[in-house]
Parts: sequence; structure tokens; C-alpha cells
Amino acid sequence: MHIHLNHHSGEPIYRQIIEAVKFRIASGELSEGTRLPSIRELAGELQINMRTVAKAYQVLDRSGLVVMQQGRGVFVTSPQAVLPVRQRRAALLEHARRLLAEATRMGASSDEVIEIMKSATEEMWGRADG
Amino acid sequence: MSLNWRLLRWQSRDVRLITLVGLPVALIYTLCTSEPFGLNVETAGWVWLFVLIHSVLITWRLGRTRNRTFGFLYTQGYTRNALWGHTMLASAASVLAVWLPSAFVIWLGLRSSYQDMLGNCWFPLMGPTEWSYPFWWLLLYAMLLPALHYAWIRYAQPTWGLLSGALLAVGLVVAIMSIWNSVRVLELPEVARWLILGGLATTSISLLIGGWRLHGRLEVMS
Amino acid sequence: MAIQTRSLSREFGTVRAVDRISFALAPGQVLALVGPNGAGKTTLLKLLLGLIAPTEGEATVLGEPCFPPAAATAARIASVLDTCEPPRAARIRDLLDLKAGATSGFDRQRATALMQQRQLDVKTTWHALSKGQQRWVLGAVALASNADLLVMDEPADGLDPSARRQLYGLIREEVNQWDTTVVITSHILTDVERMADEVAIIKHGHVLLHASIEDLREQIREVELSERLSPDELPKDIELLGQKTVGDTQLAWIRRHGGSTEETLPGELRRRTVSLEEVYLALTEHQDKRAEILGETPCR
Repeated sequence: MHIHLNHHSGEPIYRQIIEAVKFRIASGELSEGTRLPSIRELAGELQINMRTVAKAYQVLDRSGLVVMQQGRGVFVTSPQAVLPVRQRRAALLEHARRLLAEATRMGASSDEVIEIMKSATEEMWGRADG
Repeated sequence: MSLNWRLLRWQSRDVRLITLVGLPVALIYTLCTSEPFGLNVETAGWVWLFVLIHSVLITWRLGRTRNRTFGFLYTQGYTRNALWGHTMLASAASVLAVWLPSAFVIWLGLRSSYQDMLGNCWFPLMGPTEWSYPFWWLLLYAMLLPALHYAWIRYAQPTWGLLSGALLAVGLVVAIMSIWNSVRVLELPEVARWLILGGLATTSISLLIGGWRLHGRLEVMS
Repeated sequence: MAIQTRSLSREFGTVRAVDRISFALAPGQVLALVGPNGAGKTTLLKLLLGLIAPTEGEATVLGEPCFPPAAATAARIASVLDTCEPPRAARIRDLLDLKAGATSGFDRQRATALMQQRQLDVKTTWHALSKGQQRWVLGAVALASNADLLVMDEPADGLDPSARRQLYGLIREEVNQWDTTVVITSHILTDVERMADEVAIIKHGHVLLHASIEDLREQIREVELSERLSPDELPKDIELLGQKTVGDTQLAWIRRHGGSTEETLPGELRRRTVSLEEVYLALTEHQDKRAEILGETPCR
């Protein structure tokens, strides 16, 4: 699994891994039951500390996106197993707020933000749906 | 501590040049000195000067604690005991390599025959009386080297003044040399001779043990 | 703990090169020491290696006191120091011989293979090598010695980018496979961000900050100060690392200890993640200003 990490963005590496896995699940690149690389394998491939990978997998496991099975490996679970609706909405809202704060800082209009959201949604889910 | 050939070879590199120059110089001196050794202080004097220079050079080469190469050796994973032990072995090896050929030149009568050939009237008559001289030279090394090694180790101690090591070296060398040159050891009664020998041996062994103990706390300032 | 120091200090004459440094490092972690020249990084490494004695405090490495150096740990520590180098006339294979004599754990084949990767013949003498090649040789010997602790002073100095990347990769492999502990110093903060797990910023012999780099990424943000957020009204758990004015905006670097900063900041606040380099500059250059703000006596 190739993940492009940016070591200099100030974004924690474990979060970058989480985001990358989430993105791949969302885009259908990783389907239910797919085995993810082991902690050792991924740490070796990305040349990072095993603890960082372990932390990312733990968070993914806790949020129900993957399941870590002792001795067998890490597997992608079905998308249905993800957060309950209310929690999901709250989390999304938080992300949206941050996005809007950033957009305001850059001087973007609300139309522009909505337009970008639309095209990004199509880009990611258009394939999977169609 | 067990003998480690790799470490000994490495440390011997530092004194190799000294050994390679010292060996022929000692040989030529031994072969070409026309007066029998021990007959008077002047000729014996050149031996002590040679031994002193050789010992100082060995000590200098092996004890450069501020040198980058010294720091390198001390960060290669050897214990302090191994390092100290092989410093002593490398010194001893250089001494033996320089001393043995000259000793054999005397013991095998080569010096005697050569001087005889040159028409020296002392030889071969005086040849056999010289057999013990190489041991006196060796004794001089055995006194000087522990003293000098002790001095550089003390010089590199963490908290003691730098001067103490240097003063100690000069003091010890002057003391040893004065005893050596003022006391005509061979003319003393046997008991006195053994007493002096015993005292010197005790001093050398104490310095060796002291050097070993201090070496464990040596600071590498490279 | 692989390394533990308590109030470790070293004076040279009247200068305190290392001033009461206390820190601990767990096995399997890569710690990078960064700081301006003369900050005391190399002195700290020498103290850890037992090359010099502390004038105050103490340090243990792999469970043994650092000074006087313990026989039990001698062969378990491998190091590359800027101030130590082999004699000019020594060949690479002499260095391999020397290391092989010190520890049976030395993997000579691996060392030779690492030399060949950089087209280095083991018969080459030291002075015929370029600075980068010399670094590579020392690094390779240290890596092949299967040590439990690697101490490397500017290990990538003079290496070209590909060799540098490769060296860091090798160090990481070593750490992940054997739980080796690594302490390096570096001036290249982007390298530190890439290859280290923890960073300690040192200046004037003090540790200004020692933290996991992942934690720093999570905890440090640059925020815009406004009437909504003034330096005096920061939440209790938030530390002000530094401040600067750009045009008419007041920017501040803040850090929340023990958790994500994102969670405590109001969602509308303009914030930006910061790179290690910015943290470093904030701490080393704005240190006096920060001290002024916090009412501390500035560290000289």
C-alpha cells in the first residue's frame, strides 16, 4: 500500500495514514475484507517508527474502519460498521467548520466552497456510484 | 583481558615508524661502539639517551588523548581494560623489536667479531663480559615506560591539573636517570644491588597498577 | 530506559557546555539533538559515550553509568563522532578488522556490502575518501556492528541526497527490527522531521524542548492573535512558544501539552500547522521575547 507521507506539513504522520486509509476505503480502492499490510511491513515501507503505524491502526480499529485480528492481520470492515449517524454528522460538521475558517482566511466565497465540495464529491464517489 | 591481535595490530601502527627507525639505529650503535659497554659512563650514557628517546616517543604516540585518531579508537567498542592492556603490549612489542636484535648481536658474538675485524684491541677479549648489558638496557625500559605511561594517563584525568602529569613525568624521568647514572650498580655489594632492584621493581609495578586504575577514568578530549 | 540523565552538566573552565540536562529515552526510539553551533550537542554525546566525565549530575546508558565507562556496555554502543577519525593511512578493511575485534556481533559481510553499494573498495585508504564517503564508511561500520545504542554526530554530513536517504532508511530498519536506540545530531531539520521520533532542541547547554515529533505535529499550531485570543487569556493548558508580527497581524506559536491542540481551540480560529523548522526558530530566536512575555529570567 503506497502512502505518500509529508513529513514537513506539521500534520501528524499517524493522521496522514488514517486519512489515506479512509480515503481509499471511501473511494472503493480498499474493499471490505482487504488485508492491510502488517504494522512491521508498513513501517518498513514508509521508513517510519512501528509505533506510529500501530497508533494509526488503533485509531482506525477504534473507529470501526478496520479490525485487527490477533495473529491474522488487519482487515477492512464493511462501511456499514462505521459511526452512528448523529456522531458522524457531528464529526463532519467539525471538519466543515475548519474548512470554512480556512476558506474565510483565503477570502473564498460560499459559492466557491460549495462548488469545490461538489466537484470533489464527484471526483471521489462518482466512480464508485457509477 | 585476553590477547586481541586485531587491537594489538591497530595500536602497533602508531609506533611502527619509531620501531622501524629505532631498530637499525640500535643495531648500528651496538655494532659500531668501539669501547666495551660498561667500561665508562660516557658510552653507557648513549644507551640511556637512546632508551629515553625511544620511551618518550612510544608514550607520545600512544598517549595522544587529544588526537582525533585516539578518540576514534576509544569509540570502537573496546573496554578500557582491553585498551590499556594493549597499549602496554604495543609498547612492549616495540621495545622487544628494537632491543632483541641488538641483544643477539652481543650474545652471539657478532659485535665482538666485527670489532675484532676492525682491529679493535679490546675484542674479542672483552666480548664475553658484555653478555649482561642488554638486560640493563631492558631494565631501563622497564622503569621508564611505566613512569611515562602513568604520566600521560594522569595528564588526561578529568579534574586534575594538566601540570601534574607533566611535572610527574619530568620528575620521574629525572629521578630514574639520576639513580641510573650516579650509582655504579655493578660496584655495589650484592645485597645493595638486590635492594635497589627490588625498590625499582616495586615502583614500576605500582605505577603500572596506578596507570591501569587511572586509565579507567581517562578523558578523551579529541 | 535506554538513556537516562539527571542534572547532567559539564564545565570547561568557566564555560558550562552542558547545563543540568535531565532526559530519558526509551529503547527503539530515534532522538535528534538540534541546536545552534556550540550549543553543547557534541559535549552531550561525549558524556553519554563516557569519553568525558560530568562535572555534575549523572547519566546511565543501557543500564550502566556512563562514567567511568562500563566494560559491560562498551561493545553494545556504536558511534560516529565528528571529532574522531581513523588515521589517514588506515584502509577501510583495517577499520572493519578493528571493529570485528571489539565485538563478535559485527557483521562484516553486511559492512562490506554497504561499502560496495557506494562503490567503495575496502582497500581504499582513509585520506583517499571524500568527506561524504568517510561518513558513509563510519556509518556503515556502526550500523553493521549490531549495537543496542547508535550515537551519531552529524552522520549525514557531506552525503549526497540519495546516500543520505539510504542511511536514514538503514537506521530506521535497524530500529524497527532490533529495537535499537539511536541518538543523532543534525542541522538539517527536514531530515530530522523525516527520520527521528523525538527531538531535543538545545541552546547554551540547556534543553529548550524535548518531545516526540508526532506530538509536536499534533500540539503546536500557529494562530492569529486577536481580541478573541490574547496572550494573557490563553487556556491554562496552552503554552505560548513565541510570537511575531507580520504586517498588522499578530501571530503566536502555541502548544497544548498532553493532547491535540485542535480539540481545545475554537473552530473559527485561524490556525496553521507548523514545521519543525518553525518550532526551532520560534524557540531559539524568539526565546528572549518569550521569556519576557512569560516573566521568566531569560536563559543566557
